[in-house]
Amino acid sequence: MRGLARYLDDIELPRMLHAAFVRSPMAHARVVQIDVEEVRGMPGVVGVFTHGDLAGVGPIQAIGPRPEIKSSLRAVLADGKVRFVGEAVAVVVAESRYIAEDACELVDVEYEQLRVVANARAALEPGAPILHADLGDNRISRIERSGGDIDHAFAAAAHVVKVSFHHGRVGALPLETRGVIGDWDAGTSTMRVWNSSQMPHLLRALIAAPLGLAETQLEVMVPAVGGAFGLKASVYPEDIVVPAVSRLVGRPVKWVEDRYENLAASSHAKEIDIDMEMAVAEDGTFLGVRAKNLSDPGAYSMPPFQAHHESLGSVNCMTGIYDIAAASYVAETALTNKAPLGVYRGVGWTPGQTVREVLVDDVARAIGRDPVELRLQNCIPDTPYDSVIGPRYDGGSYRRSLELATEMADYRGIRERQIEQRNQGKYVGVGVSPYVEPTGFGGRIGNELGYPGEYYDTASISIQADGSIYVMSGLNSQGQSHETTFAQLAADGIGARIEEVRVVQGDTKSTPFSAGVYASRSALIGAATIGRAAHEMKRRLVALAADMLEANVDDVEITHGKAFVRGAPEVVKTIADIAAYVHWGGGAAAVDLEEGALSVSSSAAPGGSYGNGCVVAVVVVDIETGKIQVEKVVSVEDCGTMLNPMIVEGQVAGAVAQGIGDALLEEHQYNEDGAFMSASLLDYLYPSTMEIPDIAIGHLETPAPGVPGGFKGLGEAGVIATPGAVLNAVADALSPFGVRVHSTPLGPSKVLDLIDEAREAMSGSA
Amino acid sequence: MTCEQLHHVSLIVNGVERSAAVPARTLLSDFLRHELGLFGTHVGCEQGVCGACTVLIGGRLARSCTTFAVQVQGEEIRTVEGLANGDELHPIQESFRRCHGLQCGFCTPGFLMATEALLSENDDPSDSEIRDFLSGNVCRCTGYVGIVASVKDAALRARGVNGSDQ
Repeated sequence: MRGLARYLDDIELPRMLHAAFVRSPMAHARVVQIDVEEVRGMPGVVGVFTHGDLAGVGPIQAIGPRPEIKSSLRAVLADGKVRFVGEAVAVVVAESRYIAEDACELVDVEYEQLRVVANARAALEPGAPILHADLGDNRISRIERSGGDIDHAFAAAAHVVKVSFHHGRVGALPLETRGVIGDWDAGTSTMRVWNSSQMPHLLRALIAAPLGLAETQLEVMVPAVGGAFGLKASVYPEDIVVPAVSRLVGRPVKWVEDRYENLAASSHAKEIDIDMEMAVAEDGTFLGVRAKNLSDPGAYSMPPFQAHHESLGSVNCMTGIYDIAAASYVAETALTNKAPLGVYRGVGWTPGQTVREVLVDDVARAIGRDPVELRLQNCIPDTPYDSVIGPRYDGGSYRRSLELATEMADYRGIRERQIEQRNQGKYVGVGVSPYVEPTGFGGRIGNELGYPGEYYDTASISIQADGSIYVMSGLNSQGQSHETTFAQLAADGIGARIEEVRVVQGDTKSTPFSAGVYASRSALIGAATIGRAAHEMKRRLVALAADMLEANVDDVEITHGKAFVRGAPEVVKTIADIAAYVHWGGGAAAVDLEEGALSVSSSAAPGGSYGNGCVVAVVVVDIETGKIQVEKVVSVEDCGTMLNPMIVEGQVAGAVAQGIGDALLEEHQYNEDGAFMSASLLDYLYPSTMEIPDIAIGHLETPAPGVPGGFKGLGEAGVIATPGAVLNAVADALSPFGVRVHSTPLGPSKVLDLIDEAREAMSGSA
Repeated sequence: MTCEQLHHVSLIVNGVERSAAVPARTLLSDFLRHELGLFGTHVGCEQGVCGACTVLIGGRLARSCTTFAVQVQGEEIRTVEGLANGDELHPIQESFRRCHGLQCGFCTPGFLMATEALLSENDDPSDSEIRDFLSGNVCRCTGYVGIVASVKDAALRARGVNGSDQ
């Protein structure tokens, strides 16, 4: 706020050097030779390194838990071949970033162009160039599953409605780009790393082996993070190269990704083709749903989430809030010559939710039903419900959230005014998108959704001699205000004042292990670990206070930092008094030392919980220009017990804005030759104040039954559900033309094309 | 270390004369951050689009990432560090804090400077005037809801009306 927060690029170490990368301009090529002679003698250049200079460093490998999922190896600097535009080929280390970038221009790389795999369909064609020879072909995964009698469902259907949808390639694009500082300490054989990461402990675990270090030789520190949204939850080549070259040159080295690198060469998200069809009974009952998808994950598997996550995620949510007795899917992934797909808020769930909700609206129009009524007719009960295809919902407000969101948006009123407005030439549309999402990703949900594995987190609380309280968490904040929510959790649990609590996060040496901040893990896991540690700390403080007050433990209460005997609040012992008693006054011996120690750690391997809600969007479409104005968004969310309404609303609004960007504006584009077309923020359209309307937020609270405190996550919901609502609103506005929406992003020229296509189809069939 | 010719650049930054010798191609953003240690001005794109690096040059809003330091020799520069008075937040900062106008904080210095410029020319902006004026600054966290509320709150307070107490 005052400009005092320290982000990665604000860190300056003595004798620090700066790195810049030489990157491939080619989508697919053999690297014939790299000539660095001209650079070596340049004033200010300290070193230049290619793959051959980094012997024993790398590669990056994503290890898969399922045999039907393959994963690629990735050299940290190109090993004889480049596979996408922007791939790192060499690194220059110099006295300034300016000099390092000058030097990169003088590195002479000779390429021999190879045939390009431009999309996932082409990747599977016979004779397609194979990206990774050791994998045999480009197909990285094919996963099938079915539940219920799907053939019967389709045989019994009165109507079958299909959609073929392309969800575009987008990016998380945090405003702060990625960055790494490596600082090798030869004296202690320790590598200190600063990294703008969402998962310091997991990053340490994943880069230790490629760097040839034990985890105890590696300290990963995360300073203030300027947004992440998933982009900073993967392992990238620079995470390894920068520390490695620091060791080679014997000085600290900093690299801060520039915006071109962030756009072209960090990670992209969500590109997938989905075919989905619904079998519907005469009365509108959904009998069965079938999906087949093919995701384009670019050129490499990115650890820890690998290349199949969009494909699998999008089918996991295919039944949504609907009671459907049969479902089946085939989920495929095939490598192409594009930047790798990483994870971005609402992984898989965004395209999966979007396509399902677009299909439900298509069904409603096809059988002449109101889309809200049709959804309510098919909605699951609010009690726990097992989907036929994997997810086991733990109860929520599936029906009520849809009702509340449509009430708040004045759905009926919009419908009543819509026809008259149309007659005046104003095309207003309303779209709804009810959702249910897995949050607090842990072992139970992971197993339900086909990601077998266990997740483990720890937090610790210690009270210092003056009564001030440390909360140590391996979960680090990137704008989600953990400092506030974690301090609040600890203060509430202990009975302390929030002002006395200081949250330490993002440093692998001082904080306990966490599997990281993604998939709305923080609220649930913070509550499970910090809440449990705080509870135990309170028990100890009460025991100590009882000793000091010469009272029975059952009679002592602690609140707002003060302990007293119930009914006698005039005599108090503050937490500072108790801490002093333990540290200097013999208190630790007075009670059992083990009991009295003011340091508590608590671990949890939470199972997770499903949050739910509903987004409604109202749009106006200008049929002359194709421009879509989002007039209003209503988001009703149910994240169980709410920790802090202001922070919840901030998360919702931010995610809704990203969802609007996903639906209407944002796209990483490649041409057929694999050239990257979105190299600046003028080419990749970011939502500004002008595209985002006021967002009305409604809250429902259905506590999670299996989570301490009843918390559910909600960080992804807006990105997951908003695109479906917006696209449905556009199709609704343009329903007089019979327009169906089948891709994102929906820019003005595409809107005009859709109107033209629909008009032609109408005149053709007339 | 380098053969580049250095130029003596002297600026009045937040009311204090500051100077350093830098190559001609040094961006104002780099000059403020890495020569003067004023890290509050952030760099989000170096393409002049995102607005994170926004400062006031002679009272005018400017992108410090597309301005060379030597171009603004002798000018008065205001950065985010010049807003607060010690520990006492500037009223605009107070409004951003109260109305949840920030999450990760990276875009915030740019929005604060833009708001300062807006309110100096219009003390009672409408929602659409606020959105229009701030359209050159990008935020990826808030969906702009908290930011617009913060600017309205700051305008109210600047006019002596009690703002939001949320």
